[in-house]
Amino acid sequence: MTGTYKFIDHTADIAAEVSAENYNDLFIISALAWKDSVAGNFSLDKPEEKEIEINDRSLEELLVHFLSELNYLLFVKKWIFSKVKNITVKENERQFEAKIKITGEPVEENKHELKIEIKAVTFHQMDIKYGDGKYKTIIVFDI
Amino acid sequence: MNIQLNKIRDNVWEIPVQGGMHVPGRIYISKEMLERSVQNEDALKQVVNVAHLPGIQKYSLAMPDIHWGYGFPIGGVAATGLSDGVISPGGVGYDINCGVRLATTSLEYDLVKNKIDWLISNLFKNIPTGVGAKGAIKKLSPTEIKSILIKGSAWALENGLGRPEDIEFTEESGTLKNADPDVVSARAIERGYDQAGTLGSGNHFLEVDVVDEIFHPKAAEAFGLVKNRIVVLIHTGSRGLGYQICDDYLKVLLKASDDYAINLPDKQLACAPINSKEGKDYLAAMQAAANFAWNNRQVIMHLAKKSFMSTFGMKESELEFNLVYDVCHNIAKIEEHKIGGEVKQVCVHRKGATRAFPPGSEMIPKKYKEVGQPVLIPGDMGRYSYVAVGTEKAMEETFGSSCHGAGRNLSRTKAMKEAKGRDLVQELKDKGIVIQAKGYKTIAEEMSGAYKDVEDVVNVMHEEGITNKVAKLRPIGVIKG
Repeated sequence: MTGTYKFIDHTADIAAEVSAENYNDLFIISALAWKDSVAGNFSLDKPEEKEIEINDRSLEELLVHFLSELNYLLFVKKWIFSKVKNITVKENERQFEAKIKITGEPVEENKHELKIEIKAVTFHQMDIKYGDGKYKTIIVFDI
Repeated sequence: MNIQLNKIRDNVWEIPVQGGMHVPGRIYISKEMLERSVQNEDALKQVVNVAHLPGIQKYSLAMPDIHWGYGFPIGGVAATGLSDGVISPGGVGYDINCGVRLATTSLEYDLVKNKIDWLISNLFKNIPTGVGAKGAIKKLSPTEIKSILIKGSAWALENGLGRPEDIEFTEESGTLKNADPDVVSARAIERGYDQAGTLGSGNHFLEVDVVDEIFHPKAAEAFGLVKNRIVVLIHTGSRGLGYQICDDYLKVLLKASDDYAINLPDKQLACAPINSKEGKDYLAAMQAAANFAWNNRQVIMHLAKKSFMSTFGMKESELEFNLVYDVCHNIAKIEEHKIGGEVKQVCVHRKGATRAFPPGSEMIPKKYKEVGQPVLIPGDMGRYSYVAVGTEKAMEETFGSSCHGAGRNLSRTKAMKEAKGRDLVQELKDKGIVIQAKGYKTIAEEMSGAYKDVEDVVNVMHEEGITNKVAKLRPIGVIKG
């Protein structure tokens, strides 16, 4: 996996600039940016796997959908994502679909430091563009 | 993009129609505020974007606390015609019916100042705050959540968590009647099931204030505001349930925008005709979230009242914990307004803007008929907040709307840098303000200097006669998530 993310200044919320060489890595890097926004570092003690299968009309909607699933797992199911184990993102007749296997564990109050509550993953400035050998976008989390 | 701004009056600026705009933009702001913080922001571009919405009436409006938001700017107001207009979640926000309520007490500042540490500690213990906070009331079943979505504040009343007067002094009596839980996703209900009666995180708070200055004695008397008395200000919304409804319907309305061939300059402005199935469903789901938020603030008010009673050993009748008013500042409402000499039904989107109805309005409590509707404008935790009152001019110019708060000045990262090496808790204490929060990070991010001066915002609306200042409130204690 290759790619990077960096947080950029945002007056009210959290914004990250992500880039990667392919769709799969872009999704993985974006998930890591999400995790860095919501939680402090932790190592897995009780690893569990989950599968996410989603499809949407655009790549941007698919990425927002994926990160929203991680958000849902954390804030509703009290289960925190750690890393992506397997991922396939592909385009199929103007539909975009992703099959993602992730590992994580149930949230424990004394173990996981939850920094903020992300209300939503937004579409603001979300525009996946290819240039200089990389896919890039900005992701803004409403907090 | 270079946006042309024409001066209409000292505090009113117009963006003329260009490109796909249906109406001009109008911004209520002082020249100084405009030059200092708004001129180069994307917020002005968002005023232009909103003017592209089909069926928008008169102007795409912005209040003086305008700043960048998702779709609409924060401080944005737009009315769309019912027959030819659209409804957009971007004009409401993720936190549906985020709002403020203010309650008075019989307590004088002198009695409270030596017990403020204890009071704040009790409030912090009794009111769930912070990330993932669970409700202080029993865990609710999906059926009970649905009941809250239909009944709003009335649910709290039925469950012994409020008084009939509380309902009377809540905007829309705390219940929007066309709410429909059947158009709310299971996931939204799941996100809300343990969040009734929780304050949440971010900029939400409960503040204990003292009435510091009265500007409008007649209105202050009607609202029960007495100099040096203690009041309580509560700021929160519909929590995860509302965020999820917004998220769900953005997807639905993005598709609908394509289906109805609505060309939008920003995806976050996704919308559908108000009369379409998608538009009606969003409106009914949004109303359900609004009801959840009213119930939430009602429950928190009840918990606050109990905390005051135990701290001061007072009976309810002695404490006189009376609700002045509860206003929402993230909402879309079907209202009647005069447009071109005719009364028309419109959908007024208020995104970070407060309803400000005038004296004589049928929509406000009888007790306030002579003076107008209370408008609650929180500032920051280190300075002050304001109570104002709606006027007829607001009906003429801003679809009965005014400002809602201060707006951020610094990003959270910059605020953290600014806070480095300082003891903000002690700094507040030196000013006579006690704070309790889940973590120091929240206190740093929400520090007074991270916000603009709310007085500048309130003064613009006062000078323009949209709302009149009634009272200034000074914080002495705060709890935050």
